Amino acid sequence: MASSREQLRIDKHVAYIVGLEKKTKTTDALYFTDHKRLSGVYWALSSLALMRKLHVLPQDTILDYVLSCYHSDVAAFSGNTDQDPHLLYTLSGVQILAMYDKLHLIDADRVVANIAALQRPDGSFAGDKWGEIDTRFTYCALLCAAILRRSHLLDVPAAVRYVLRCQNFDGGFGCIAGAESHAGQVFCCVGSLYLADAMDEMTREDRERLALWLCERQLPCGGLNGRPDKLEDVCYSWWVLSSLKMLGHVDWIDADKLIAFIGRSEDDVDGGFADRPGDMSDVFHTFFALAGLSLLGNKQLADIHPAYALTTDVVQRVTEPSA
Amino acid sequence: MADQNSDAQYSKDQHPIFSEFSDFKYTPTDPSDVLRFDEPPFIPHVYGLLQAVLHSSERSSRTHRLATVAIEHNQSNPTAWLIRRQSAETLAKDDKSIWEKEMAYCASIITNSAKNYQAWEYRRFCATKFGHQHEREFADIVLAEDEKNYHAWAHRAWLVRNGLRKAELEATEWYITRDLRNNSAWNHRWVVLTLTGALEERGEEEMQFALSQMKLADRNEAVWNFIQALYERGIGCELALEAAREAIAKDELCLPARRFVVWATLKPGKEGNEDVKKHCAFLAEKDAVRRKYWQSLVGDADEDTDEDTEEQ
Repeated sequence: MASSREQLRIDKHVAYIVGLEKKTKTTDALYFTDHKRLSGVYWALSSLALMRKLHVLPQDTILDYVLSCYHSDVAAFSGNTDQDPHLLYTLSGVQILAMYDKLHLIDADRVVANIAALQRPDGSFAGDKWGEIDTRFTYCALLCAAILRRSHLLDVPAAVRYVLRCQNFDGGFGCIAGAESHAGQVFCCVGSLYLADAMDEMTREDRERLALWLCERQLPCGGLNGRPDKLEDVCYSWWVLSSLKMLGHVDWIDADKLIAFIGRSEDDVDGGFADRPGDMSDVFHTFFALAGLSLLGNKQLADIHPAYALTTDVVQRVTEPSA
Repeated sequence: MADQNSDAQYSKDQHPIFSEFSDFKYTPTDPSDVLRFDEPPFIPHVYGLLQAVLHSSERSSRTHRLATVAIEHNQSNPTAWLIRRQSAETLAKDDKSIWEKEMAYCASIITNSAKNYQAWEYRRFCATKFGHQHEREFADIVLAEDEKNYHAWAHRAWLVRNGLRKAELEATEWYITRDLRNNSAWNHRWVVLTLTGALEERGEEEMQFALSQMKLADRNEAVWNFIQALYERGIGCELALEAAREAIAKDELCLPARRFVVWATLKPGKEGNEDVKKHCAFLAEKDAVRRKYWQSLVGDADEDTDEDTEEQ
């Protein structure tokens, strides 16, 4: 395993991501099978984009696959070619198209109109016609609309009110009102407030208590956990750090110890990152490790935006004023 | 979920579900060349048939069985769950007992895969049809395997919001006393207290309960978060501060107690900022991963003092 002071094995990680295409029945497949394959593609491509190697996979083939998951009748993406649309995968599809600067390939008005139809009167969002409610879906909705420059089609103030209802007594956020604070859900809620330009809807005291709760996720080993008294996991390097970044307090954790923890989770032989040292690599944790390192200023990596979960050059492109 | 190796022996013709749908036209799904993975040979046929059913008006016992086959292969397939729900609703028109069977089906999925979002969601849907009477016990069964299962606690929160509140406060106490660091149980206790109005009724008694649990494990982050929330509601403030100082006196490395004292006294007028600075300096040394946070607070304390002075 690599130490914190060594260079990232970019060539190994690129080879690992490219090699995923050919793997079957491996740990990696757990993150690529069936219903969430489009998100798997997003994690893979984002990893490459962070390493400035997006070009190593064939764009046309990838786009053909991504568009095969696009359901033009309802203007939404599914997790795989043989699945039905879901907001989680609409976001993955939109993010991938944004990476390739191909957003014109979908009907943005209808995509966001379809998302707006998933918003409930209390401001929450369902993931699909199945009807499950979760703050993850609020984030997906607001980010899709932001990338497609159509936030005005959603009831953003209502979404903000719903998110704030999910803030708990410890400062964190859960998946629904009353559900326990969890760093992944915190990311979705803080990201939603950020995208809605509503960070100030939290009082300064609430923001700082939340930031402290996020800081408390760092354990003496350097890794971060998702809630009190749980194990550290590399994926929280993204969920926690990006939230702290949006709150303006990344400096409140020990970056060197976190970098060292992520380094110990790196497979410097076959590439990729695992959830924690000693485990097998997978694409999910590879992306979140690289994203975390990017937020910590690793110069081998492109900068990532903490709310858009895209490299900053892509965010600049999709948010710059229209000509 | 069926073992993938044993699945591999099936072909389209060998799986019994297809004989039931001989009158149904469908196109097997075409696995992508991108990020392709092995799967049982009959699965593209199952998914193709599932899509054909989705776009048909039929919801019946056979579509219900088809959903079962699809869910066996992938327990998170939202389409399969949707068809299962719609099929069950149709079957329930003639036979209400379907909901009891569906509850049992959900239980079988969740007990094997307790983090399955779709199964929990469907369980809640079925409970609205069948009744909530067994849901607390069901959550208890899941929590017996993992007392911090996020979905099971979210399920309990849903029950509380839907009015099932009797003895729930006692349940949280049971879980807390089994594991003092069970943050899920502490969170749920707060939900119950605030939704039922019990927080106001119990008042200082609740702070005394929290402090009694804190004294059993005084470095427990979960209980200190709870104490802090009570403090911010103005409940048992003096008790909490006194207990925190006692904890620090007994164990100078009781960092959560110091954190609480800092938080509670940082505001101007509550306590001298010299005390805050002393605690922050100690925390910056002993809670090294958060050193910069504690150092920044000292700066905040100074700023607060300045503001306070200016206001005066």
